[in-house]
Amino acid sequence: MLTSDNVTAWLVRWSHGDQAALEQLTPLVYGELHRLAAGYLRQERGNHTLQATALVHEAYLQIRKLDKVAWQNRAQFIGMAAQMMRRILVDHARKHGAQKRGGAEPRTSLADIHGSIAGPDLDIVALDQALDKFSRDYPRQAQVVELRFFGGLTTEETVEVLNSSAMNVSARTVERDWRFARAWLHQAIMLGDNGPPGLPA
Amino acid sequence: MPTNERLEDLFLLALDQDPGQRELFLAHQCDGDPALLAQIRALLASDKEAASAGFWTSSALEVEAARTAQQPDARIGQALGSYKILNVISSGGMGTVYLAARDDDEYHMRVAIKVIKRGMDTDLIVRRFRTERQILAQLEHPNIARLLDGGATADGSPYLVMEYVEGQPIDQYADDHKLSISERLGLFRTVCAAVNYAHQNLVIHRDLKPSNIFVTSGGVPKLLDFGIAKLLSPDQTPGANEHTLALPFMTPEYASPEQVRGEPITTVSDVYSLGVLLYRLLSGHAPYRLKTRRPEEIAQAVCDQQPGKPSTAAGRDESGGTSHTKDSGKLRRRLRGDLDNIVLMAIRKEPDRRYASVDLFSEDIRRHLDGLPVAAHQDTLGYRAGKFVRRNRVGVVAAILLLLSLLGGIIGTSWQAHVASAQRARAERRFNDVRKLANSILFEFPDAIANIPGTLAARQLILKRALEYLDSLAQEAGDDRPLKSELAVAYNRVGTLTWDVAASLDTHRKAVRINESLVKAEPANRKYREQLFDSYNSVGDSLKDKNDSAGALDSYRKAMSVMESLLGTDSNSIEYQKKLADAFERTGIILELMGQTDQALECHFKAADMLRTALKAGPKDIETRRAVGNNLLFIARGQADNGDYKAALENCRAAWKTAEALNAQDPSNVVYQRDLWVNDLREASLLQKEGNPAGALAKYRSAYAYIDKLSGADPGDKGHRRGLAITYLAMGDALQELKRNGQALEYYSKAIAISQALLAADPNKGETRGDLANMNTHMGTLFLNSGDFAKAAQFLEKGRLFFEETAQRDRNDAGMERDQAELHARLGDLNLKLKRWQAARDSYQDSLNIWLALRRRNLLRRSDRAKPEEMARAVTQSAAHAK
Repeated sequence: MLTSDNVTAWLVRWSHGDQAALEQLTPLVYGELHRLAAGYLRQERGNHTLQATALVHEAYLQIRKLDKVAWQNRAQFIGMAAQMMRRILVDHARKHGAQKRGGAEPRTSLADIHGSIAGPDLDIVALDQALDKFSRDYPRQAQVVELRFFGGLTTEETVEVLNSSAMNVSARTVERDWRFARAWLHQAIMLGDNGPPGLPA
Repeated sequence: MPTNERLEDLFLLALDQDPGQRELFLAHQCDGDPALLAQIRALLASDKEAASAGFWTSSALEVEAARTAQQPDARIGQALGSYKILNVISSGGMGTVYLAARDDDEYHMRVAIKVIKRGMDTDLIVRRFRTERQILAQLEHPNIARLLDGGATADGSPYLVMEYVEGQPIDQYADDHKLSISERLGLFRTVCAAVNYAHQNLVIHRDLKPSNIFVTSGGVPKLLDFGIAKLLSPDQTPGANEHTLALPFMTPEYASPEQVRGEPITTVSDVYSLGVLLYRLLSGHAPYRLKTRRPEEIAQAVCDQQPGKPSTAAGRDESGGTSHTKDSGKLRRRLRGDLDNIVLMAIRKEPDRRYASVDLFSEDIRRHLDGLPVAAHQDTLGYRAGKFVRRNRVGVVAAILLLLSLLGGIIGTSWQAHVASAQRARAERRFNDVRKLANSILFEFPDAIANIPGTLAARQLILKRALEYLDSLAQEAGDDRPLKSELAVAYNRVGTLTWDVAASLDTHRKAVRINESLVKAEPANRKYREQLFDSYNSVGDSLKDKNDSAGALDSYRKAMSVMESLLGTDSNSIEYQKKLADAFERTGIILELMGQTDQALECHFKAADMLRTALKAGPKDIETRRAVGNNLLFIARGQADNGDYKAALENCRAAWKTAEALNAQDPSNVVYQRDLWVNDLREASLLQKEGNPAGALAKYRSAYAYIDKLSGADPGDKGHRRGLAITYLAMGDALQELKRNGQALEYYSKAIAISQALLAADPNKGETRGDLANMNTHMGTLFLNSGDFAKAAQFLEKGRLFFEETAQRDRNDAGMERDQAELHARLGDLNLKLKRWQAARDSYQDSLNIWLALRRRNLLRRSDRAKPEEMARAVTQSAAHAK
């Protein structure tokens, strides 16, 4: 079982480049993931958006209990945790059979599980690849996506994390970056190729 | 990179423009750079798509969780310890059971691996496994599957490796092999011996149920999961090993009351579970009659409901249970007495009143098999009455329920006295008093609460108990005609109040059978014939609900002929006039469903005549007034079918006035509110057909207000839920006609969501599937008309599947076939748009075939008469394209 001590320790080690450390953190995310998945299967509704955020926040609360905090501040930690979520979720999707073809799969979608309108699902692996590509030209915008979509952060929290790494952005900028990134990525993913046509590679 | 900055800026600036100005703005900004212009345009299109894609508003965690929920099991093919996972055996609340083989073993010994769901305390389970494994490994018995190993998977889920047993659950095995009662008892005693052996080794099973007792093809029973339940139970305080809470994943039906309540568990808890198992093996039924499979309801029944005798249960609803013999009378006789007593003793609520050990239980069965007197004896009346007093604290409804189940017992007892006692007169008086009380409970109390919104659950419980009471009384009735007559009326009433179609039909048929025998015995008795009339009508209604139009028509016609002959004996009877009007009405409705509009209208007009006579005799009679209003609506519908909208609308408005007057008199009565809803719905659909969608929408809104209020008052009432779904669908149609596609989509989605929930709650309700077929078709049509062909195809296909399923499971009526023909026509339209000429031709042909078949059977509505020719043209045209 993960305890607050070793969550922090593993996160610290991972941030220093120890790839094996990520495996130790995996159960934390997987537990939540499967709990959510089971909920979907039981057709439960609820404010799921909160749960991704809660996971990140909980990890933060756990490290705050410790004196020997290796993190300079909350923002930096949350940024790290969002990155961790991305890596683990992408690994999960890769290991468990996502991306059989193209980016968009016409299988039962999120919306369908919620009992409303069906549409294509999002393939996390395809998103990850598109996001890598996107970040080459748009590093800040890509980070917004990582924090919001993978970390589950609000606009305000995203601003806080970005500004802690010496970027000076406003909530408006984050919102606009998100809108642009969303359009760019959506196009890249839905087309199933590496990016919107005609964009600088 | 400046180019990049510019792309984002331009995209965002374009978004800030008025949509109408965007192109102009872009043309200006991208002047001379067509590539940039194309990029921005593509991004704008993407932005629009992304906004409507659900996943961007959630998070990656949820998206991945949703996808995982849809995935086949990922463990297959992976290794677990020294085992390789081959396949899934079963999956349940506790986790998944896999078939696996030893990886390093040249014999590839097969094992079953149970991987416990995450969320349970892994460390605790693994630790407990270590302390218990010694004990469990010691259980060496030919009828107990061995626990071999245990551990935790890489992602931290605990797992248990067990001997793999190939076979069938014991109840299934017994039915498939058509085992006799004695053979079943023998097999059961082998199970008892194994459980007893474990008890001697201080291991309690705690989760005995058919799926944990397999029988191999050689007929050897094997108990699975011995002691596993304890390993997996929530935390225990040290030293309180036997004080374990009920497991959240336990099958509550087999769990003892003490387990459900979280009280101490002993070997006698296993006696209880075995008793439930024997109940099922002998009678084919569970001891408790349940409306739903909700754990709370089962738990409540386990703790509070007195189980009926297995012999009584054995005769119950042939279609529902796993009946193992065709002759239920013979079976009932076999079970009555000893076996009833033995089973009921094993499943008593109080542990100390059961058999003290599995061995004693098994021994009593042996005594029965050997023809010796058994230790088990019947529960006494005094004991039951004591229970009643103890439980009589839960309010009026609960008191009625208890009284009903109690009365069943008292009636049985007094009836025996009635037959046997020397003091016949006194016994009879007492019996009749009790009967009166029972009738008043059955008839007055449900009435008193039936029309109060929000009392559905209470009503259902009363019905369940009432049916038990009736079934036990029916056994005792013999040739007592007045008693049988009372029973028939009561069955009819209970059936009418029951929502579940199959159960309702079954109960109504019981009434018909009794009434037919009564009329045969006493043809001159009018009361019996009146009852027979009622029960034929009720069976007709149930059959109609099952989409069996021909069966319903047949039953209604039987009812009409009974009433016509009654009217012949007393032509001045207002009551008979009203009843015959009602029968004509029902017949008219079914004829309309079958597409025979003219005949239907004829029936409705005849009904109108009779109602007019009745109203003249009693102008204040509420029932007649309501019937007049309904009659006007039926006439209006027929007239609309024949294209006479003016007359139809007039009749519809007259009907509304009647309904409103009744509602004003009794505003809290749900019946009149429902009438007003129906009325508005009808008027709206007339307006829509007449070509006035705006007027229709306004009326639909007014209809919505009624049904929304009703549904809100009693969210469990499925009739109201369906009403709400239908209203949403109709509103969607009107909106679609008004080109308000976004809103139409929203309403269709709501309709579908409600209907899907209804279908899940009662998969036997044919009309729900028909509703879903239509809703998906309308949704598909919406997308078709707005040019989203991919979505159109998706929904039309769903609609097609629902129609197909309906055709397979329920008998289709003409109305549904018409809808299906429309669906195929829409599929044709879609294929035409996609330039798939051949497919279009095929779809039109499908549609044409249905229309032709309807015409052949004389089931074509007047308004649909042009359809076959229309479709034939479409076929020809698309065929020309195909060439």
